[in-house]
Formats: sequence, C-alpha cells, structure tokens
Amino acid sequence: MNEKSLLLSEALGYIADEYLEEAHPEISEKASSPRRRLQILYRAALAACLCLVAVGTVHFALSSGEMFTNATKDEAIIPEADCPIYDGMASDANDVGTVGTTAKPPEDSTAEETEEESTTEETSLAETESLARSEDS
Amino acid sequence: MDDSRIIALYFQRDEQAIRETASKYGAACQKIAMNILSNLQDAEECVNDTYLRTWNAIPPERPQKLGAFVGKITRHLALDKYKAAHAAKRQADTFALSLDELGDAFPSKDFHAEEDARAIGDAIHSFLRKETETSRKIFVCRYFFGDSIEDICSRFHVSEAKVKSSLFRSRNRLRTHLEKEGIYL
Repeated sequence: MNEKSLLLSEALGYIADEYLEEAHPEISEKASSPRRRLQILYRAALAACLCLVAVGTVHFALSSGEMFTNATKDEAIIPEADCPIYDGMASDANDVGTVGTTAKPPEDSTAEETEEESTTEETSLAETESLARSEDS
Repeated sequence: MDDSRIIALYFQRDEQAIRETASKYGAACQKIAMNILSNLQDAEECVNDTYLRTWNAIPPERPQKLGAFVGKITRHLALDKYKAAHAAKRQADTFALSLDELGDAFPSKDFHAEEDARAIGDAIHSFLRKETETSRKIFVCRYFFGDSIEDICSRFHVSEAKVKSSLFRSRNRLRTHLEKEGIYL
C-alpha cells in the first residue's frame, strides 16, 4: 500500500456514520437490537398471513366461478324440477308464506265468494221448485 | 440493550458496558478488523483494543451512533496495526488491493502529502451525498469496510461485473469531484 492509498484510507475514516450504517446495517442500533429483530419477524409473519389470505380468496373466487359455469352448463340438461337447489328455494318460499304472515291468502277469499254464490243459486233453485209445486197443486 | 443505556453504563464506569458493546457490535468489529488485517489473532487483538479505546473515550465523548463509533475505532486501530506490520514490505492482500485501486485513480504527479486527511474526508463525504444509494453502498463497503468483491455481490445480490463497473465509475467521479474542490492527490 502506497502513501497515497494510506492517506485516502485515513480520509475515509471521516465519512458520516449514516453511510456506514446504510452499507453495513449490522452496525446500526436498529438492526442489532432484539426488539427490532422481533419487529422484523412479526412483520414477516404478518405479510405471510396476508399472502395466504389473498391466495385463499383468489382460489375461492376461481373455484366458485367454475361451479357457476358448470351450473349454467347443467341447466340445459337437468330439468328444473330435478334441481335440488330449485326445490330447496321453492320449499323456503312456501315456508315464508305460511309462517310469518297473519293475512289470509287471496285464494281463501275467492273460495268464500264462490261458496256464497253457490248457496244463493241453491236458494233460488229451491224457490222455483216450491213455486212449481204450488202451481201444480 | 439500547445504545443510550450502554453509553450511560460507560458514564457510570460500569464494566458491563464493555460486555454489552461486545455482544452487540463485537461481530461487526471483528469483520472490519479481519478485512483489513486478514489474520484472526491480530483481528481479535484489535477488537479488544477497540473496547479499551472506547472505555477511555466515553466519557467525555457521547456518540450518537455507538455502532459506527466503535466501527471507526476498530478500523483506525486495524489500519495502524496494518501500517506497522507492512511498513517495510508491500503485501498483495485484499485490503491493499482495494485501496491501491482507489489510489491509482489519481495521477502520482498531482500528489501533495500535505493535504489534510480531514479535508479529504469532508470532500469524500460531500461526494457520497451526491451518489446514488446503490453506488454509495458499494463504495463504502469496498473502501471503508474493505469487503471483497464477492462479499459485495452476495450482500447486494448483484453481479461481479456490475460491482466492478460501479466502483470504476465512482472512482472517476470522485477524482473529478476532488479536483473541483481543489484537492489534488
């Protein structure tokens, strides 16, 4: 090593501490403290968990999309009545209609009206029959 | 233990300060000394001298960054030991090569021995401020810590060609910068 090199090497001893820490983080307090190491480990674990969740979400979305595609393909082949999902939906709809409501369904009122109409018809027939008997007598 | 607590121990003249310094920065100091001296025994001796020098320096010194403080002391002591050991002969080891390649960037005819190392150090500092982060890191690793090219490649995950090219360009820019500052080596 010549004199010039030694002078430069001594001069390099005056450069800022920040540059030394930047080049060799092991001499910085942050990198060498146990708390900092724990923080780094915690962040790494958190990042790994987030990655797993993201991958899981994407996988679920892809698989459900595939199921949807298969279902739409199958609709053309399987009749609606044989579809268990359709049956389930239908039974659910019936349950909702019978359980949660107090109002009578419109079908019942129309039946009453028809009964009333039939009774009036029966009475008018009975009246005409009685009139005919009286005329005969 | 935090640096501030270790420094407080130095101020209380508690020898635990040396043990804490050794456990926290001993490995880094050992590497710096080994890079310069290339001898395990000399490096260990140098690191032990570093603890003694730090013990004598604090107080009155109160370093802001203890790691860099002891690192600089180690490097200074290792350079002194290196100069003493190699005063008579020139040895082609890694550290000598790294410094010679820096010195060779400056023509010998411009060399003025009276230039102060401190002034040159300040100029190098202002030069490094203008460098990109990567080239600055590579420069400091090579010429301050005496890391080998292979070590730098593995540290920053770059190719050997890129490291060499970065160092070559940095040396040229440093020469131009020093000449602008009126420093001719």
